[in-house]
Amino acid sequence: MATFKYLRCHSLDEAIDLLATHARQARILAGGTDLLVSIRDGLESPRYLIDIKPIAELHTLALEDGLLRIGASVTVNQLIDFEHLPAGMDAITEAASCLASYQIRNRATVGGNICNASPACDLGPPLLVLGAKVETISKRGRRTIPIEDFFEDVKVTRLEPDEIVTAILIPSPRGGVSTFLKRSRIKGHDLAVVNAAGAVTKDGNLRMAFGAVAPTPILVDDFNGARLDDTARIVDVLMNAISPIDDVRASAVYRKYMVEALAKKILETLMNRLQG
Amino acid sequence: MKDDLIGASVARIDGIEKVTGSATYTADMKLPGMLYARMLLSPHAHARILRIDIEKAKQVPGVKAILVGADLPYRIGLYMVDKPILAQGKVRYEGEPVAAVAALSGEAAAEAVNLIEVDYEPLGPVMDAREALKADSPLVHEDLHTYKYVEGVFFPVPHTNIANHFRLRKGDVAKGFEESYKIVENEFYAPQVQHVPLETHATIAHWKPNGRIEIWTSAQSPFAVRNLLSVALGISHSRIRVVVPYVGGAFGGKAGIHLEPLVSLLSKHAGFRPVKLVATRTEEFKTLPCRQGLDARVKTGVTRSGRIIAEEIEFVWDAGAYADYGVNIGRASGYSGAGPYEIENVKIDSYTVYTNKPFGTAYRGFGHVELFWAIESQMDAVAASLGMDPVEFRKKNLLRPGSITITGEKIVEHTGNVRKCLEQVAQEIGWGKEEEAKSGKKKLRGKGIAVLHKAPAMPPNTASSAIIKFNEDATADVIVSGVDYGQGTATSLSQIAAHALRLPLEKIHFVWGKDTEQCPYDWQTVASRLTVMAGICILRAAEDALNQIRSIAAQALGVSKDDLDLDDGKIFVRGDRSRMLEYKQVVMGYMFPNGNSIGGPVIGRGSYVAEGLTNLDPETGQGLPALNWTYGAHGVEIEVDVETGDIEIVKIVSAFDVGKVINEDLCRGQVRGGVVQGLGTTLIEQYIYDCKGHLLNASLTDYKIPTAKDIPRQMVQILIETPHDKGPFGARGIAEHPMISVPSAVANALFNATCVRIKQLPLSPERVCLALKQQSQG
Repeated sequence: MATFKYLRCHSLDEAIDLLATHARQARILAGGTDLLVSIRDGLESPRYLIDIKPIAELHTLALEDGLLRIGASVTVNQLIDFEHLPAGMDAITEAASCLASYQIRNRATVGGNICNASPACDLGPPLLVLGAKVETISKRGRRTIPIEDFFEDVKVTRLEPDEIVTAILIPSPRGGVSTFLKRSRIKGHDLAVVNAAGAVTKDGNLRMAFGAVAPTPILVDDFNGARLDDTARIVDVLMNAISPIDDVRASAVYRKYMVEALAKKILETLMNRLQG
Repeated sequence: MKDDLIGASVARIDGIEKVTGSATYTADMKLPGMLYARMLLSPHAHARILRIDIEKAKQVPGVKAILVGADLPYRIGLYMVDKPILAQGKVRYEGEPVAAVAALSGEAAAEAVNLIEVDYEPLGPVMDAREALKADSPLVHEDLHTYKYVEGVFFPVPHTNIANHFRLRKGDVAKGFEESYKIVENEFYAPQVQHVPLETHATIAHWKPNGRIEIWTSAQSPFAVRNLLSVALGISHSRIRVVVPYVGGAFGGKAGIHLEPLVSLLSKHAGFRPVKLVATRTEEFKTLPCRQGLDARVKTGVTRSGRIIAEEIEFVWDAGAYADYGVNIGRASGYSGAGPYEIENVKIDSYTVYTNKPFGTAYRGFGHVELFWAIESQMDAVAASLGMDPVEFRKKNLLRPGSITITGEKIVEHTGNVRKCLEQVAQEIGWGKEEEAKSGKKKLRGKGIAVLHKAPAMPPNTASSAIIKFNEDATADVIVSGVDYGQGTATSLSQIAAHALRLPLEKIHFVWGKDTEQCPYDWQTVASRLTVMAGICILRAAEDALNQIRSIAAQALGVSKDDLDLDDGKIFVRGDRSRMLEYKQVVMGYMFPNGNSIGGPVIGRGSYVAEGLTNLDPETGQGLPALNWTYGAHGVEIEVDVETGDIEIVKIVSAFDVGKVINEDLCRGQVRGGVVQGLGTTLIEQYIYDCKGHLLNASLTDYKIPTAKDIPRQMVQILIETPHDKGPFGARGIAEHPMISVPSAVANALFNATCVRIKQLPLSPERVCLALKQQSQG
């Protein structure tokens, strides 16, 4: 097992100082459910782990002026249990509820799920269709990154080495609806073979996002004006947008079929929810 | 005393200790001065070892011993002695241990392991068992012809990859095919899978300066560990002590011997300090054994009316790199390989074949899950080719009293009733009634059935024994050496003991930790044999103890032994219940009022060796291999999502002729657990390799097993009681059987729902989806 120095931070200033000092030799530790496994398996060997859990402001989970603010250290279960979630955000809770297992969700954070940037991350698609933004901080200041610009490649984000995610911000759907579906090998705790989210605004604009079918979760928001019930045209657009591979979890061919199957079910749910 | 203990749903006697976490497992234990071991594993599936350099590793502070293959000139095995303790000269699978380190901490041992330098010359890996049979295949074991094995029982073919060739010949199969109205041929495949016990393999060993070895280990069979270690190292049995505390699941994967020799020798080389090795989950997948793969070709000839008159079967077992257990699975599947059917002409060849994969061992069903995957899929395919109802087709061919099995055994009434299992399953699943898919037209409903049988696979002289010793308060300690690693046998054996001793259950103390120094002999805890064989021993030990009690009481009361009745811990003079003694006045010896004493502590002894079994004829496989057959059947109703390939188990009904239910809840629990484990094999589980022989899913991230959410919506158990003539109260074993034929029942339901016959496990959503797409396009 690799050895590392564990650094516990109590303020954001302390965290960004440490990160600026150790930059590429350090990793941020929140829930640790991905990071510690990678270290154990020898895939990563950071010299420093900077634990941001003690930083109070990163635990904020609140609705502020129609904007849902999910602090970087908010756990997945805390998000699921949040009582003031605006209507229309079903995609995010549906995704959160099938992310890993209950025990892992007690520990795993929303911020960690996107920073790990797995192509199959379950929170990627819902955040993409809901138009989330990622708020960050470094010694150079704060910035927000639209989620569709956040993922760069397999397990790579556009974060700078000295930059920390502080929160994920999701605008209220304001009459829109959304949903999420996941295909796994079993019904219980499993990674996605394909996951998918869809959202429609009140005036009928469709956004769909898929995971595990490209190097990053991908957003598709231009359907050449196809109507919601024009499944064939929508699926055509999706097929051109995805680039799945064969791996131990599924073949590319099966993933394509599943994008089609999930897209159909999602469109059906969205239409039902718009009417309901 | 009421006679209601046999069959009662008594709560597990180990329940409180387990749910409160106070049960101690090997992995929990720590001895004074104990060292920690780690292994260096081969990164190659097949390679020559050119050089091993341990110099840098030796420099790591805290390292007390480093062993490599050259230090350990031993080979281990029960049936086929083919496995070195550490790889010698070459590695035969990725994950094979090449070196091992014992150090003051696990971290130091791991660091030293990382510093061991090994140069390999990679060799072409043998990854397919059928390819391995070809004359030009590389050999996994060049020295097979020099290995020791149980001669006359197993038949290795020197200078090939065939570790065992089992032959069975009954009647004239060529003539049978000539006379057949129809001949159906299919090939079925089942991949390797993992047991996935909650507790990985764990061993603590202490080689003492006086030459004695003490071992605490997560194993199924303390005496098998002791015996194999004794034979391999040439050390007397009496100098080895094996203790098995609580075991966190085994399913066959902890039968025989595993980490114990390595850890013992590390202790010896580390200055006689105790050493502990707990397998990581990765090692559980890569290094420790799995279940063999099977490629089965089945050719069946039937008459116009649906009677099977010829069957030719070829099993090619993918044993992996070592075949100690694999050879016996090949044999057991051979003598039972046609299923519970009466067939006049049968030819079976069962080959156990070496490949460069992790090695196989026993796994719940001992080859029968795999062979019945083939046979019961085939039976459905044959019925379909005749346009016959699969239930009717089977009924026409099932064994019944008077039938002769493929090894020449005559079936009698008390053998058990497979027909009843099938009929009751068919009725409960609503066979013949069409069910509409309830969740829309993208889903299809189907029903499937499959039957099964299995007998314990064990040597003809397999033995058990039991001791019952009384305590001062007339509670009784019951001691056997079979291990309850989750089956619930300890509870059902306690019920048998209480019933036999005429004591309430709370007066029975089932001695938990198994210790070869203090417990009586038992061959192995395998083969669904413990309730039957240890049960018989407990009945005999109880009778022995009661005889002693009667003798003492007869003298004390001044009557004949035969005039005594025993009930609820008391001894009565028949016809005069006022003349009575309590067990506790007798079991330590009886003292007369004047102080004179007779008797002495009562110790009951019971032994049993399987009776009437024979070795099988080397050419024809004829003989009597089976102490008892347990028959069963499954009926399953599924809903298939044609878009995703998902199979939803709507209902599964399972019937077994258990002879006699000893504990109903535990019996049903065994069935539920076995069915769910069978669904894992059916729907999702498999080892996946790249072309170089690297296992790609050696973790629970990508090797999935059923979770609570994957349990079927409705599970029904039907327990049939046709008494067996030898088992206690007529009981038969039930531990393995619930898993058998689950895959074929589901595949048959899939065929019923979709007209697609899939011949390869698992029936994963992807495989089903792609097969359905192919069907709709073709």
